Amino acid sequence: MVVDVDEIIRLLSSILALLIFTISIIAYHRERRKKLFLVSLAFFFYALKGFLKVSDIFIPQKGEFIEIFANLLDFIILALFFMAIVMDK
Amino acid sequence: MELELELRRKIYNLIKKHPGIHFRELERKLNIATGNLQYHLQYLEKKNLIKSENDGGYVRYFPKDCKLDENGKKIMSFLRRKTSRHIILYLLSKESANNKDIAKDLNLSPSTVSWHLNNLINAGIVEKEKIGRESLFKIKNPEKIVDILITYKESFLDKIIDRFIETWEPIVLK
Repeated sequence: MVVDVDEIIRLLSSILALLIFTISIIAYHRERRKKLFLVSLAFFFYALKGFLKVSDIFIPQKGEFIEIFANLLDFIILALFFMAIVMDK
Repeated sequence: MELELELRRKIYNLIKKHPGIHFRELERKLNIATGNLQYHLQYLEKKNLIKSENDGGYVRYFPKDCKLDENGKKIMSFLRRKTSRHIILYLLSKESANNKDIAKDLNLSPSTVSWHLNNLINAGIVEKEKIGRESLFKIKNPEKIVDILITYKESFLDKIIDRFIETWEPIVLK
């Protein structure tokens, strides 16, 4: 098992995203604004995507599925940010 | 029902988080017009959700279900004033001190210290003890003040969450 710099950075980004997700979900519980919930979800999916990608290190035989799912998550993340920006309330 | 309005809920939550907060502080933190804030505060008070108290200098707001008793509210009001808070914290750390030492260590004029100490004595928070020609000041009930300081200390997490909301506010939350 060889862990390269790229994967370490990806893992650190995922941990950071998880931390921001925790902060944002607490902020949502306090403020009860839907927009904050959307932003929280976006950070959660970002963390999920990162963890899925680094899971390659442990389960290398997953193949194409990870890439497709990661791309789908990218779309979901951007869609959530977009909704948070355009939503009325 | 009374807290359905987002701004009203925000005002209420701020008062709950900072019992004893005064009008200007609320205005500064929420960045809203004076008249608007006055209207919501009157509404919340009318609906029995908050209570306002005049501590001599400021009108302070407390949530109705505030766990502080009358004495606790008085202590909280003084802890919310910067100079009084510094004097209280100084006396807590020194047990007792005279006016000159307080003024020197806190970088204040003796007359300012004297004015604050008199207010604290009148409120029953500080007591004066005369030893010979010297007057020493000490906190009357240090345990209670420490207890209030611990209970209502703004946590690191609170600050981070406030900053997170402030960061996102101009982008998506307005």
